[in-house]
Amino acid sequence: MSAAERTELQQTARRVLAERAPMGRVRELLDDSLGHDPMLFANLVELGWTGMHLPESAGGSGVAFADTAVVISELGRAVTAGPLVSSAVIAAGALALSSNTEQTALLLPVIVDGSTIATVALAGQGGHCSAAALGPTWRSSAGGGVVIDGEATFVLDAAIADVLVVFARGEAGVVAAVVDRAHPGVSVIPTTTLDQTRRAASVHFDAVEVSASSMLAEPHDGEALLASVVDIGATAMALDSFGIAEIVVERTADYVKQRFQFGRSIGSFQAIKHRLADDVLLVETSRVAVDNAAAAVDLAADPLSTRDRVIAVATAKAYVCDAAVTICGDSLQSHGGIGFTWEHDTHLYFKRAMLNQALFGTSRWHRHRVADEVLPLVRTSSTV
Amino acid sequence: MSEFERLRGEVREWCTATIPTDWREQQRGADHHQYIEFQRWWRDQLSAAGYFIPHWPRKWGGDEMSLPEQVVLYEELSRGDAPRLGITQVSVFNAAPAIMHAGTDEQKQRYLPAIAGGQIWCQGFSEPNAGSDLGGLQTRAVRDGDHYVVNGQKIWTSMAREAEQCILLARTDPEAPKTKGISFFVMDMRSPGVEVRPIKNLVGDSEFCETFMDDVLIPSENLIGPENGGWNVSQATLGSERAVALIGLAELLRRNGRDFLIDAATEWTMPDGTPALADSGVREAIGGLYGEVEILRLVLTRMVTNLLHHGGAGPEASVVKIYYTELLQRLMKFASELHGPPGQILRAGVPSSGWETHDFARDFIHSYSWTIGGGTNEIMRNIVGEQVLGLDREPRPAGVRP
Repeated sequence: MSAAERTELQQTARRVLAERAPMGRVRELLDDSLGHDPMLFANLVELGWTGMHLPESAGGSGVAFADTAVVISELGRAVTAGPLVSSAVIAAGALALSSNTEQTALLLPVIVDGSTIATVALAGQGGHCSAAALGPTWRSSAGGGVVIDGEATFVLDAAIADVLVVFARGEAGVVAAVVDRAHPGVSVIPTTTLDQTRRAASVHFDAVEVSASSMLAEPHDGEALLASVVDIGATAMALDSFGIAEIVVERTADYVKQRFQFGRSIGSFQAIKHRLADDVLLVETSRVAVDNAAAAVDLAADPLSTRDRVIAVATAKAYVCDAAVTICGDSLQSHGGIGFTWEHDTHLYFKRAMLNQALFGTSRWHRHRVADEVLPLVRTSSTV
Repeated sequence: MSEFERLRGEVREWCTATIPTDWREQQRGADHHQYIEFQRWWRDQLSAAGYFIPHWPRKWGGDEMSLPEQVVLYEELSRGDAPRLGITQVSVFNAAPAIMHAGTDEQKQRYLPAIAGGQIWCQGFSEPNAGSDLGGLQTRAVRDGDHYVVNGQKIWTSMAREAEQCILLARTDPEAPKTKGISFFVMDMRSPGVEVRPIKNLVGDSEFCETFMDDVLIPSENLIGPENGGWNVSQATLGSERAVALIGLAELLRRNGRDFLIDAATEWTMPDGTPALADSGVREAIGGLYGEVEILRLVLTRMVTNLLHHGGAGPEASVVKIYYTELLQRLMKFASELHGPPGQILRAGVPSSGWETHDFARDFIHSYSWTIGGGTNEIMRNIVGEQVLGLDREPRPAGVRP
């Protein structure tokens, strides 16, 4: 897609979301038990946005992840609910990268056409997603498959998912498998997060039998697949946060231009102006950081070295998600009392930015990931 | 092999052959005279290779090097640990663009070949009472027949002792609103009445000077652009080539800032004797800084791409200035603090190295020249707030004209 086409895609996405998912609709869904608008999702599927970055063999259009990235940022900008990111980007990414071509051929087309919703289940008690911190565990089963136990936390859209892509840890290493949400032994318990524009849940696995044909990764390649999928998830969170950062700076600038105190617009005060200038700087530096991360997780391009991918993604995840939270806090401060109300939209952006910052690896963890790639491994203590 | 790869290979080879690997040790503790001598030598090397004014039109002795080619050149010079060329910064990056933009053909003919030949210039813009508020400058130029008579004082005039010419802003109409009554001159530094006094900076170098003008006569043919139109001429000096030169700075921050920090810190220890790089907090901080230096490279690359496609960096240049200078400062501050007492030992400086002397405490202090110079970062934030976001200007006290 050319730069001009990408700009057009962005404008289309912005217009569609403004029409179909305006702030009023976002607020209606805050109290909805599933927090999901099937009509809206059907619209997004029709527009082809669930498959842009996926191979053509899977019903996708095989274009650069950078195009899907545009849509993800627009979803963040509009604080939109729905499983496009959890299903079509992250879970589909895991399937596309897996060596189990049968599962890929089976599931990707139905994820792209929206008839199946998938999500990844991996984080453990602390919500972390390193190999050592995974929630689910596995042991071998008699039939050549595995048995999964344990609990995965902060599973996005689990309540509306049909299929779970589960990452589990075991003595031999990490495995990944496809599990039906309706499978006996799988139970989903909603988690109420501060951010109510999206839905997460804990997924419990009680001796869930998985057949060999459902395995996406075995101990020899499971950890590499996990890292790739965490990087896709981390990139998606950073892109979502970028969309938030951008609109919050715009809205704050509009507000401080029209809010008058002491006979002048408060934006004319350097205390306000300079803070907003810092926020512009954060947006502009975040923009290049997320573009770089999106290129690094592109399924259509030649894969980067793990080192280069991790540096690009981990940098963007930590930097951009932190930036969005800073920008939201600055915005609240610049709005003063009115920003502190439920009616004002500031809290919707702020809470979503905070959840993005927490999921798919905290900023601290991602900075450590960069350090582990670029520094000699003399680490004697570890902070995860 | 693409054009760029060919150029890259050529510059890399040239750096290896030309830059003495021990130039830092040789220059450590150099006095002003030795510094200038080294700078002239380095300028001549660049000039002989065609790297001195590569972006200039062929007509004036340049190579018409495209922006992407300049990017390659500056990246490779930084990668090759090239010394900073300071003595011709003003002539090439400030004077020449203004003259090319606003000068007459006769003026171009008079000045550009000399600059191309390596002549040293200085810049007389700031005054003791006109720093961020440059429009408030008080140096007067009064027309007298075919001359202007100039009286006043300039400050931070780097290289004033060596400079043969000075680009000078002086007030020609004291009645006009501040920036409307200023003219842009070329002043011969050997004119009677020009006096230069070096200022010792906080790390002990005398890189800049005060310049006093006492009834200095400037021929009226040295006026660049219209009388009272000097403000706009001076704004033209922030050309795209300066933005491109920033690419080299990003590369320097990677190699001489960040990578050198990582090398140096492998030897450093924590209070309990364990290696500094085994400390979780240190690792996290370096992980963050590492990424930020990458972001700097990306944001500069995007700025150059915008320059290519839209012809101007615009207010974005202010964003990049703030980000570069404050990242530099954060990195040096972190390194200096981590190094602890050994970092406080005074060693002689390395002129020609800019901030990257590899003594982090000194480089940290020196980094403030970047957050102050070239428009303070506070002024940059005003520009971003007002020109990018369209926020209202700060009201001026009654009686002060814009």
